[in-house]
Amino acid sequence: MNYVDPHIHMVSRVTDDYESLARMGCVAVSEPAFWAGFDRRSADGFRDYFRQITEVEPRRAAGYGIAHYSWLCINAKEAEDVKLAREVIAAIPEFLSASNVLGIGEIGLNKNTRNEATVFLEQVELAVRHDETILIHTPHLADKLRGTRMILDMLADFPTLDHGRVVIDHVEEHTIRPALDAGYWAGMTLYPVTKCSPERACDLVERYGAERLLVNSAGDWGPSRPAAVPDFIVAMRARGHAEELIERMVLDNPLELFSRCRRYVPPPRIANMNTTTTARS
Amino acid sequence: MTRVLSDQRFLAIRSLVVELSAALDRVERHAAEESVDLDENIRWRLLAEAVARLAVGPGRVEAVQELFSDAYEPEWRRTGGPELSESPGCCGR
Repeated sequence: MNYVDPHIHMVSRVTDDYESLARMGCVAVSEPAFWAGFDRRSADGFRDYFRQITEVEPRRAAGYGIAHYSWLCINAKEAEDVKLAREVIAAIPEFLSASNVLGIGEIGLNKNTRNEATVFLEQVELAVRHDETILIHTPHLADKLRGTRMILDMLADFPTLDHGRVVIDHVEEHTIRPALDAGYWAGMTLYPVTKCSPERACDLVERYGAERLLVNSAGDWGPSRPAAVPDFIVAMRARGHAEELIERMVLDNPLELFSRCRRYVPPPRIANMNTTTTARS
Repeated sequence: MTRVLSDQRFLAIRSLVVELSAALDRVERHAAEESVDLDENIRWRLLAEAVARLAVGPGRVEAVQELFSDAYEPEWRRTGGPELSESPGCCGR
């Protein structure tokens, strides 16, 4: 089955992972800007990183027939230095014209501090000003419930924000309902220990339906499984769910979200497939 | 056997329960070896409460998630909000 991983940090994965993704049916990935494992010290450091995920990663992905999209931001873990954060926020528009940039992300909260909230708000303002889609990281573990509610409070400050262009990512059982009820997309991240599992993601699809629901791996430089979305496919099939439902979750939904970006160009393999289907009919 | 408690599902859950049981025994054994009083440990009390919540359903997973979560304060903007989370469920950065 063709699928999309809408949240995976390929910059931290070896090229063998692209090959594995391709073999499992991945047609596209989207890569939010995130913490590198250390705090960067300058806005130019972030510029170099943005070039890496908007130029280098797409070339690596293309070698395996995978379309690569990205999101740009200063992440919550590096938001305590508000002065630097503002320099990075000022630099982001330099990269927004690229057709493979989907929007602003993954902004959010980490430890739910005041500085994090300040930087989060300023990036939402940036996104609204530039008419961008938004991908939001919700905190881990004990911080998740409070942080998600704080994020929803702050988003409510933007009355012109199109909720259908915002993803609340890393939802779990205690945070999914407020995200969906507010009309946002909700991303379920299949990541060991700190987030969800394939079985629990299947539970959430059964309880809440497939509308505006995504599944992703958030694969990064920590212990994580780039195969997480295929794991979800297998778990759904084991429960006897229809192929149409599974394909909606892993292909149609992420592509629908991507299409909310005004620059979006569909993955070549999907575009070619649609062209072939049209030609045959 | 229906899917409700098929062999595969039963064995998977049984495995989780056995792992949990072993983990809790392990903590108590190590505490005894190191003369640590677990009753004074808030994380241990949290775990004990979480296990107790497993006995009552539905809604177990939400109950356990909320038990391990920092409380949301609706007036967080007025009060300034937290500087840093220091809950017992917090595990560093």
